[in-house]
Amino acid sequence: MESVFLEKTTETPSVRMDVQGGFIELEGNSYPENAFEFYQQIFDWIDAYFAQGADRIRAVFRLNYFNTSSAKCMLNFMTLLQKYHGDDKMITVEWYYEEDDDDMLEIGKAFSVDFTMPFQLLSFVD
Amino acid sequence: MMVQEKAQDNSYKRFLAMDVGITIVTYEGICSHEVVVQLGQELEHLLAASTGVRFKKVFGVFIELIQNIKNYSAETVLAQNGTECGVGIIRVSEESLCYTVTAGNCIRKDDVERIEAKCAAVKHIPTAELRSYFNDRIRLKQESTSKGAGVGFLDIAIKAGGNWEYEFHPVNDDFTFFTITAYIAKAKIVEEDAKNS
Repeated sequence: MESVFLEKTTETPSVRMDVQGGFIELEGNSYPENAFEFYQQIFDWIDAYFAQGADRIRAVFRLNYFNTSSAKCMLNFMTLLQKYHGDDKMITVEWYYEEDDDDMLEIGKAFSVDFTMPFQLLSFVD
Repeated sequence: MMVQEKAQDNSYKRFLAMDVGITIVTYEGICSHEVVVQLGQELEHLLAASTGVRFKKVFGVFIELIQNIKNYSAETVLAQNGTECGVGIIRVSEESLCYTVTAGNCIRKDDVERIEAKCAAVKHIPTAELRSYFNDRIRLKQESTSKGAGVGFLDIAIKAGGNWEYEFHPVNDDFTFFTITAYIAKAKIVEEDAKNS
């Protein structure tokens, strides 16, 4: 099981999937040509990460903008993380939004209400 | 499918004749993924510094509309990267209180009723309730024919604070020209005033 780093592009976020640190971090924009394909590789990594016995993950989202296909992928992302959250595994989510970015805040809020795993909404100033 | 008709030329002329303020970007042609990314970068370069966080709304509407053309225009050509991509026209412009993003493309006449019903349904939702509809919609199973999340019109309506409109102009027996215009207020207070007026 290896850590993976995907470089940021104009239309895809950087993705740091860190086995030793036990975290996954996304940063940047997300409007790829095929969002479902892009996020599937991340979901596969998470499945493999837990299959090899990991008991916790910290998921950090520092997204600037994402399109509606990516929003659907974010929901799938949360659903996957929630699936692993339970008695023997600890999932925490940190959702960053730029101060005054009500779109990013509101979608984060909706996720935080929908899912029972610990979910922090954190503002930052660009 | 090419729609090389005099009538379609008129659709583009009518589009360009719309009074939507000072043009920042106009693009007509194939909306391949590369074009989407390139134009998005130019828009960011031209607007981000002056509009701050409001820029994200203009950018978001622009990306959603141009990806709509790419995925759903009835007029398509084969792009350099080998994928079939939609053809259409998109413009971002500036007025004193808002930015305007307008997009137009041909759709099949058979699809007019379905798309019109979709637009009308979103238009009917009170602005304050758009977000909860959006959240509900992305939780539904993806429509099988959709290349996106099926919530594009809702997203545009949210970012425009409910200030958006759509039009259909018949081109010929087979095609109709479909346009969407979204108005994004330059300041939050203006958006709320527009809502109350």
